[in-house]
Amino acid sequence: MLEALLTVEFFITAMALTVRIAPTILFASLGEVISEKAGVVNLGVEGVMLITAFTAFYTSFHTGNPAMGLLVALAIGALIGLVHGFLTVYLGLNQVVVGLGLWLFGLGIPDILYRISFKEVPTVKVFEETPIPFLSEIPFIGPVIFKHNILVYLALMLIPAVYLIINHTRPGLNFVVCGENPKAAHAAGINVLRTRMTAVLIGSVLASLSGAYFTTAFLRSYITNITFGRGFIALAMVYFGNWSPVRLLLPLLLYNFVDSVQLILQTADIGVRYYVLNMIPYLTIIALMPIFARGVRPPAALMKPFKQP
Amino acid sequence: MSFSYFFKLAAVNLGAVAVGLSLGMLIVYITGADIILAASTLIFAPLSDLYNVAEMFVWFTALMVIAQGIGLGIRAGVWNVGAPGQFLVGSILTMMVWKFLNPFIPPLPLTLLMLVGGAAGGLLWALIPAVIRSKFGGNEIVVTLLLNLVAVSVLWWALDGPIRGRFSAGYPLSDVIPTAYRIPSLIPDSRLSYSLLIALAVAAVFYLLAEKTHFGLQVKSVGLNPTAAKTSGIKVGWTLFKTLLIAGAAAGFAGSLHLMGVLFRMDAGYAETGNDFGYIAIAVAMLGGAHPVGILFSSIFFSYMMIGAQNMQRIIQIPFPLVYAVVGCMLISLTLVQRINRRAV
Amino acid sequence: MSRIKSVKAISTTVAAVLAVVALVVGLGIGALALGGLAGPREVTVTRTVVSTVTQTGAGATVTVTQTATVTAPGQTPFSRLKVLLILPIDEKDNSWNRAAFDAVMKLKDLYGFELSIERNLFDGTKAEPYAVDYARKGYNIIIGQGIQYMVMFHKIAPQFPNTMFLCVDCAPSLVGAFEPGAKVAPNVYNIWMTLGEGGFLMGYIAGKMTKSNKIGIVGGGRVPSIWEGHEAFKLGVKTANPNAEVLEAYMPLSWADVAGAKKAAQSMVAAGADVVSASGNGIDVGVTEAALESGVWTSTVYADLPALRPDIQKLMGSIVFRWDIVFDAAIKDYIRGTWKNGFLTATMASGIVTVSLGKNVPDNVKAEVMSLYEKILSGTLKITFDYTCFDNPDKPECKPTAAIAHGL
Repeated sequence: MLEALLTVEFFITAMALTVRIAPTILFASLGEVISEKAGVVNLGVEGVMLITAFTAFYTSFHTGNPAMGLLVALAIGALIGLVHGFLTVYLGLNQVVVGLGLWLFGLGIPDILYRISFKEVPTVKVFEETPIPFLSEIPFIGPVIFKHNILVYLALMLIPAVYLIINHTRPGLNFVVCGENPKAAHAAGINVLRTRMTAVLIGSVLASLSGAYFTTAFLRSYITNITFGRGFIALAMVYFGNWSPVRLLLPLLLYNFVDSVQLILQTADIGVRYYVLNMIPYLTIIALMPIFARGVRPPAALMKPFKQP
Repeated sequence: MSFSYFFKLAAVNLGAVAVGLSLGMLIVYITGADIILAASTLIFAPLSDLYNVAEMFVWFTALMVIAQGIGLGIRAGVWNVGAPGQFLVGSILTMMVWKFLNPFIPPLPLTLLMLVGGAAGGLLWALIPAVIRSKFGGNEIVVTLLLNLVAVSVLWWALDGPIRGRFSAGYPLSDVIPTAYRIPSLIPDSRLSYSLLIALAVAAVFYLLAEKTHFGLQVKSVGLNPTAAKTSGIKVGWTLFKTLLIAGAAAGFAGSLHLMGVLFRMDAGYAETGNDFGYIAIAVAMLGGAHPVGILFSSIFFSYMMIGAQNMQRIIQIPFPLVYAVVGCMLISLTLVQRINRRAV
Repeated sequence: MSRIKSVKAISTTVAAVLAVVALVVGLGIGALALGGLAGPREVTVTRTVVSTVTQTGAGATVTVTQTATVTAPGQTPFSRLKVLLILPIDEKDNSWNRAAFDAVMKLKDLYGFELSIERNLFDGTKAEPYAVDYARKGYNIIIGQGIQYMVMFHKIAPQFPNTMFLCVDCAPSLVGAFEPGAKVAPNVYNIWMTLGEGGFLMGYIAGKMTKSNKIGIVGGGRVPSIWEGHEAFKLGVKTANPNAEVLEAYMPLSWADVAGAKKAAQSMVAAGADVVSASGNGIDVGVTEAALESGVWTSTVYADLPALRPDIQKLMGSIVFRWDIVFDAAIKDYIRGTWKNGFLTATMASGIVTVSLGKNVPDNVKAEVMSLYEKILSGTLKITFDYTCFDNPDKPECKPTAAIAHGL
């Protein structure tokens, strides 16, 4: 059985699965990059994802349309972002506490709503796989990148988009300055609070994309704790990627790839116990931490509230 | 500290807590449950009989010990969000100490060793974040949260590996600790053991540590103004390091107290227990103003509320996660209120 | 908005007033509801009877629906019972939990006892405070739907000698005792189950239905009953189709891991499987989803999926457990007083375990399966297991399966 695995085909399938799972973390990570670059961290990403995953599911079920589910989820995400931003940016509350509070909130509310709104586990329509006509035929790369649902393509396109925004646009640079040296930013005439607020909003909306992805593209139903820690992994990826949208791809894809592979390996009867295999994705990240974490430099004003005089 | 100051403080903090509770009640109301029944259960159930009181103190033991560690951290300006993971690893180590050493060491000393093992486990699990924070000045929070997830995996591995039970028959369950190695029961027919007294002793230790030692002073200074502290000669990094390790040890110790006094065995549900205690303890520490005595009282309050919530949940059939939402809301309102009150948290 | 002015001016009087108000409100609520908190709630058993009468006459058809509420007149020993069902997940899994839920609800309708259900208590340690609490409140029968409650029941059973702890998928030989050396608690009523017989039949169908000769089976925790089911499944496959290969995965520690089960099933499909079976709980949910998406055949256990989900086309069938028969027997034992050290095994021969076949299974396969089923019922066909393979699955004798068929 093992020999059957060490084929190119298997590798391609694993890579395709990796890319398909990636948006569950990728959107949130990209959002967090923007938010943290501006100086605000959202530890409650997991909570946002839980809430929006349920919202998308609920809406999708009642309207029969995953796109509606996505839109409503985005709206809710924006709302949460507003609240979070207000508390952390304008009121200057401790970001750790607010984030954790948000997470606990997200842990409780969707569960209750789920229990009271559904008697059976329904399945909903999801964004179907839409292969891109020519490109999906390319051997190797085709099935891996070009044979997915549209949200995957969106995520992939967002990577260079975020990179460009942060590094080459005015608003993006404003974010960065507010995160590095808000005093100087203020002196230069930038409205630090408003800029940070915008960054937080974007971060929250993107996080809600990740949450909605669970129930509008990746899975067809909902269960309690559907995100299972992915929000925290998204946070970690930002850290390991040194706050660069491009650099975080490596640990992110690696984690997802190892996760996909270990599942396939479980069926391969290779004599390694399943729980060991299950731990491998986490262990990989931790083992590679010295490599990834080297030279990691967070934005100087991260987590420090700014009092606008 | 004047009476009126404490009074104001208490009123305002409790007001914040009330906000969270109101949210909970609102949700109960929305689900159509009997809100009067819910509220009255919440308020009166914990005192309704001896068993509930005992359960309350089971929570109190765990919450308070963990919160003391977190509280010390808050004073220094660090956040120990890794308590769930440390709780787990502490318990696992306690179990392993028992399992591997019990043929060689008689019960009484081994029990003490097991307790030490718990603290050591928690300390170990706090080592990585402590190093990151003190040595590299990095953000230890993300790594700590990840380590919580990893700890769950470690628990699964351990349950099928080193601490696998003889009778588990494939279901992930550890051996049951025999009576000789348990912490004796305090109230018969309940789950409360002498862990409660040990926990109170821990509170006393933390009080002395935080208020009466040189180390406690260093912690306070570092928390108030790290740069000033550094200038005055305090080794900031080293202080933070020790603080996080102590917090980790406390969480791990709470784990072994819970294991040896209440459950006597571990299964996969232990992870959720760790989560419950570890994250709610943050709210406990905050409400207690990061002061050992304040934490004592806020632990009583929270454990009261938890038992009330559990009873309420059984009677009106609202899922327990409601409590998480309520605590989350409380965290936010607490920090809001304390900010308004110009607390340096 | 630039700054919140720090509210230093909360005067002592305001604070005092707030505190007093809170106290009064709290006491008021308490006084109002104190009656409601005295002991366990009294629940009146009411049943809503809906009858629809269609009257046809004078060219018009009138449908009259009458709803009447009937309060159970007089109490029987059965209706006086208080029963708690502890579910590891919840009944939405259309599998293990669903089967138990349906069974208990059916009996409740029949007998009218007071029923409480606690969901999502997956582990014994999580369920412990709940079980103790209900036992203290005078509940007579506490049903734990799963082997994970076995040790917990034995821990708390001595405290409540008159409460019956009904442990499903448990056996006294497995637990020994909560504390090694102590006696097995007599008030724990054990129900053992055999997944082997049903697993064999499902494996047989799988062997017949596969075209790629690769079949997957996904299970939850690797406990003895599930293990038997898997090994028998492999035997069934081998019997039907010696060339087929079985890919197996256990979801470590969690029957609730839907996403993991789905991923496992998907990876099996990726490895070439065109049939993927599931053996329980949340696993069924994940595997069914994966099967639907990938267009492969699947089967489930515990609840009657062909009946619950007629929309699924490629469904080989389900092994259905009639827990209501089992619970009924246990309850009757309890009422009669003959319940101590109770032990029941759910088997096909006892009618508790049946097979429900999917509608699209070809008739010839159906016929073969039914004849095998008859053989099991009559005792002609027996399946036994080499239990040394449970701990040593890699021994050569354990491949391809640890199950042995007698009387094929």
